[in-house]
Amino acid sequence: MNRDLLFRRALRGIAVAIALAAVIDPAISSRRTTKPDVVILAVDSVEDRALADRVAKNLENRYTISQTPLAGASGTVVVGNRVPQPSSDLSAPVFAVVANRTGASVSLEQVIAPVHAPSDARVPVVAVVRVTGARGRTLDVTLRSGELAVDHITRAVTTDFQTLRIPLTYVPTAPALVPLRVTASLGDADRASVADVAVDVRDRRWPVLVFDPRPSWMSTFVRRAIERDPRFVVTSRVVTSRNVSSDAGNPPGRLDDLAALALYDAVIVGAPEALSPQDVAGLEAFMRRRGGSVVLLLDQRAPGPYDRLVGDVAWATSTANAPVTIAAPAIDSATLRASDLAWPSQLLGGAESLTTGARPVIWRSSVGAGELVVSGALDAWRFRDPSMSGFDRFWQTLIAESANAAPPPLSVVVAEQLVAPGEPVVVHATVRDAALRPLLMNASNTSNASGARTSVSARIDSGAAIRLWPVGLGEFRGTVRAPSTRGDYRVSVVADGNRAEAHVLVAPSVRRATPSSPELLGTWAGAHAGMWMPEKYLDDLGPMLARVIQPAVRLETWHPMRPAWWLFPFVLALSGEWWLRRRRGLP
Amino acid sequence: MQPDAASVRAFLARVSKRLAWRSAAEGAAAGVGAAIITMVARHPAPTSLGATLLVLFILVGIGLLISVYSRRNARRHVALLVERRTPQSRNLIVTADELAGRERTGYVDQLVFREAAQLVERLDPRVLVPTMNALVALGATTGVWLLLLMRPGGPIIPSSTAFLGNAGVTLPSIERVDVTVTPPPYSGRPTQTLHDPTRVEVLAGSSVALAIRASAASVSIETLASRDTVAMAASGAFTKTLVANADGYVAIEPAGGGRTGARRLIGLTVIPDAPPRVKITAPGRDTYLRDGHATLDVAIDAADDIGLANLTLKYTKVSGSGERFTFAEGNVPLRVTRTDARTWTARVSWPLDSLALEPGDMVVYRAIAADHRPGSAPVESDSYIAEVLSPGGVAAPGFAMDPEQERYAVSQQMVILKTERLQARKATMSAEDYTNEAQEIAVEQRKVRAEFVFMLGGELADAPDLATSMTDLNEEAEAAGEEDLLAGRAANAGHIALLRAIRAMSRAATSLTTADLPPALTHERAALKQLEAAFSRTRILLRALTTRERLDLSRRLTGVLTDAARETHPNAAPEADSRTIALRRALSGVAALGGTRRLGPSDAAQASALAERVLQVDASAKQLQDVSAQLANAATALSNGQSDEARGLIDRATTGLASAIRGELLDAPHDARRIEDALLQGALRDAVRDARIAPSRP
Repeated sequence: MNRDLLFRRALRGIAVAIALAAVIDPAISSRRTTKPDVVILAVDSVEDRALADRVAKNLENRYTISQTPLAGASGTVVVGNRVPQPSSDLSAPVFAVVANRTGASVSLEQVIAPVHAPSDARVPVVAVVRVTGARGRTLDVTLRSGELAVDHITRAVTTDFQTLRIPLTYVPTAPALVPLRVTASLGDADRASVADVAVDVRDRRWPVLVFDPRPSWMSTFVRRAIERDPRFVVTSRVVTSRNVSSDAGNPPGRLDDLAALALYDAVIVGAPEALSPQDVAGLEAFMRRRGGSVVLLLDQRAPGPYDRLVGDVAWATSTANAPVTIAAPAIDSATLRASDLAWPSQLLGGAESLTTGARPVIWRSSVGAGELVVSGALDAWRFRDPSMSGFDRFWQTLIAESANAAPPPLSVVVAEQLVAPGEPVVVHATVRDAALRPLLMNASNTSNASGARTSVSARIDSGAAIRLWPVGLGEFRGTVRAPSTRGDYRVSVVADGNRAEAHVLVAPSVRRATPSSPELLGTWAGAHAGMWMPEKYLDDLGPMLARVIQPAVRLETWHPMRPAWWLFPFVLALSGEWWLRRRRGLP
Repeated sequence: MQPDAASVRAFLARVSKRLAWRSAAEGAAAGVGAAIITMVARHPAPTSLGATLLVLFILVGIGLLISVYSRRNARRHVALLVERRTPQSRNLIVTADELAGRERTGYVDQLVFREAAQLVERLDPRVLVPTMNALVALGATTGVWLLLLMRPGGPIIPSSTAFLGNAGVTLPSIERVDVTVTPPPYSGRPTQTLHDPTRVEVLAGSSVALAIRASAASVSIETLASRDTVAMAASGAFTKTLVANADGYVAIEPAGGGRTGARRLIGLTVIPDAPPRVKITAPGRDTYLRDGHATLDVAIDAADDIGLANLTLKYTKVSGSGERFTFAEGNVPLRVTRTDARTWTARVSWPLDSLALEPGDMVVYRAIAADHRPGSAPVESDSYIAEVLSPGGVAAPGFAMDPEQERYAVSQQMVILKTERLQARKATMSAEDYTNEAQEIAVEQRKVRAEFVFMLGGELADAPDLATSMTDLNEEAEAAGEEDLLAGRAANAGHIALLRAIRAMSRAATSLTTADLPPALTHERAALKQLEAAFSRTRILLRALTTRERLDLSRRLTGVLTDAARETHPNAAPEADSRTIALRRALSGVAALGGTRRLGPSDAAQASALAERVLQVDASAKQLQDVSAQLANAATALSNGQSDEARGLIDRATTGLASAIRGELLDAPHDARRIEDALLQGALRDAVRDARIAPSRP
């Protein structure tokens, strides 16, 4: 056998061996090191896409990259300037690469709007806008309801890094869950920042009781102010003599009748020094066990049983020749004027002055779950001329705030009223009596509260039942996936014979405002066992990830004959054998 | 030239001419095509038929020039073109064309010309140069252009016209509105003519003549006060004349064939003719004269927004007292300086000698100005008094300063302040001036006193005649009153303090009249103290009851106790603010319109109706006028098919309307606290209170 023949047989043998091994397809199990899965998430799919691609390229040699959330991933790299929305789905550790923004940029950090609003009020919407690198340019902020621009504000940007609070207003035209969209731009519509919110506009009227143990001008004019306001249903009793009173509506006979008083969200008391100890006890029970609000309107400073209610504070008084202006920035910027004033020398802890200046003429304090408001503007009623004083607006706004603070028997709140199809909707229900039961037990020390059970059921319009879990006394929480089709859905909750509803609007695309602070992003990444780094240190990301994400070693079954590369030696062996035969002239 | 050569050249000329025509047709077609593009793009906007035709002619002209110029070489070498399209020629025509340009008479030339002539006789220029395609293109583009010309919103059929289901049936429409404003004749202002205005500002009383050109059988004209239907006049226009007296609008609606067209809204702002303003700038205050021989230097300023007609100074001399008052009136000649027709000033140095004023007499004078407006009342300035002092004298009731203005102007505090200042200046003054000024303060003190006397219903035992004897005290009555007070017979503590104050003021006035200031100051301060006591006791100073209102004390503690019953009313219904309600309804309508995904000409009527509704709420509010104008413009834009522009205008109208409502509403309250948060805050407050109270407990 010559060497040529030997070569030919060897080549043929190799080809046949490869073919046989491929047919057999042997499987081998061994412990192997695999590339960990890392999710790279661009917070802004447009602005951060290029950087996310760079990060992916930087890591692709060592990790298996996924640019969508992946269950069971070994880690996550967030690319952008803000905390991503679905943060609960991300795998820890989370690293953040903060984009180095060049040029002017604008982002909506936060949009503040009430969840509910009465239809007879204007809805304040505050947009917190962060503007970078746009000194000297003009910021346009527009509030839209559907296709319609309902408010528009323009502001000049004066510094390179500026955060502006832009007050916008929506005037509702009908009760509905209204989707609102805030758009902030620097004149470049393509790079506008957009955020959506929804406001549930309802035809709500607050039941309010006005109680005067003796006639009082102060209380009379405050009552007239809120009687003019369609947001209130005012019931009143003015005791004009012993067993003689002037009533409007059907007021309760006594203030110590909690069942009767519980029908009202707020109780306004004129001349409180004339209240009896029983009346004061009734008012305290109203605040502690009902969570209601009480407004005391003093028209003179005189001691009385009500001192216990306000905390037995020491009082100071003053009488000015000319009326002084009492400003309350929190109360719709309205002002009062009064010349006779009374105020506590020192406010109790937890109490809050509603007026500016050193003298807390009007202040409020929590009493149990309720709220107590005390006015020491003794003769403010004398200066109620609208051209000089905001008397009506002040009291209408303050009493609306107080009445709105009183919880209903059952309240339902959804975490987000505007959601995308399939997005989780968190439902929070509060049963007032159950939530205040411990107080009730403490206060009365009776057994009627013990053993009381609360039955709660919830359902969404799409037909799905919502499982609510108790998370505290009288507090329940549940989650449901938003329906897949757009529309206005009602979440109904029934508890102890009470029924309450919240609305959820499902829209195809929902944009939310999120803070773009790198510091916040860093804190958030730290809380997820990671850290943040600026874009310029991108090269260090790989080593840092390597320190916390170890390649996984696992038992793996592999098939050595399955790679396509085997074709190459197979073809090469057959070709070589054929070439040798042809060179020898063999067939 | 040989006949054959001429025949060939004539043929070539015909072909060249045909080529030129074809080029012209192609150029014209291109020009019409460009005109079609401008009409579709609406740039320039098709404002009128003339403008549209002008654009067409220019573009067609440009097309012709370009086409004819670019084909000039083809025409110059027409023989080559014929040769190319006639294969059987075999260069015969080209040769003939070249030979034709030279004088040749040889055999070959003749042969070439003859055969070329025979050949061209068989040729048809229409086949060689077909023009059908060019003509078809020209016809097609012209047809499309005409269609665009006739479409709704084009220059022939106005914007408000919309084709209905049946072709050729159109809605009535307004083509043009001419408004001629003729101000009232007295104003001297010129007549003004406006074309298609959205808002007209006119002087009150102006005549507003409307001339409306419309494709309609009739036109209805609606204002806030009326609605009229106008037929076409002989001039072909619909005319109507209004007199503008108040802010409002004019809504014009064409009608015909049982249909109505898009409304046009014209806002009307009426500027009222303000009355003249006249003021006596010098002396500008009441004066007290030592005798009747003084001279008053009077200066007057007067102004009017259109023009002043006259300015006079009138006086009334009052002499006598009690039931024997006599009055004499007259005018004081003025030296008037007319800065312009609207601003006049006047001065006079007025010697009072001629009035023969006696001590205690007074003269009341005032300036009177009038403008040219017919029927307008002259305007008077404030009246001032020049009074010749008599001891104890005071301005008579009826000629005193306006009580509403002056009632509280001179307070007791001010009397004290003036007295203190005069006492401080005593060393620097002559005795006479000192006495005069003290007497003037005495007059002011009496005025203050008189106001409080009136406040108590005029009941003061020691003041039988408030007008004339304010300083004369009845000692006996005074003493009796003091006894009453001391004995507690006067039950109203505030009333007592006021009586004491009034009496102290009387004493102060007496001391001031004699220029004895130290005791006067003592009495003044005592009066002030009593006044403070009176007001601090009751907070409200109630006027003393008149005889008719006096309580019947005999009925006290009579009656049946059980008759005193509870009074029950229904809950008070909130006041409906009709303005806010109307504005919110309008906003709702605008929101519904703006929320429409595809706006089109059919929405124009709704926009126009909303514009009108906004003005109906308050035609004089500038903000609402702007909103209405934006909606009216949106209606026009919608009629013209400019939906993007209309959407922008509706957005601005919405923002403006919301801004107008915003001031009427209050902010929605903040979201309520969660119960557990509220409980936590309440617990904190309880803990703080307990911690503070605990140490004091046993």
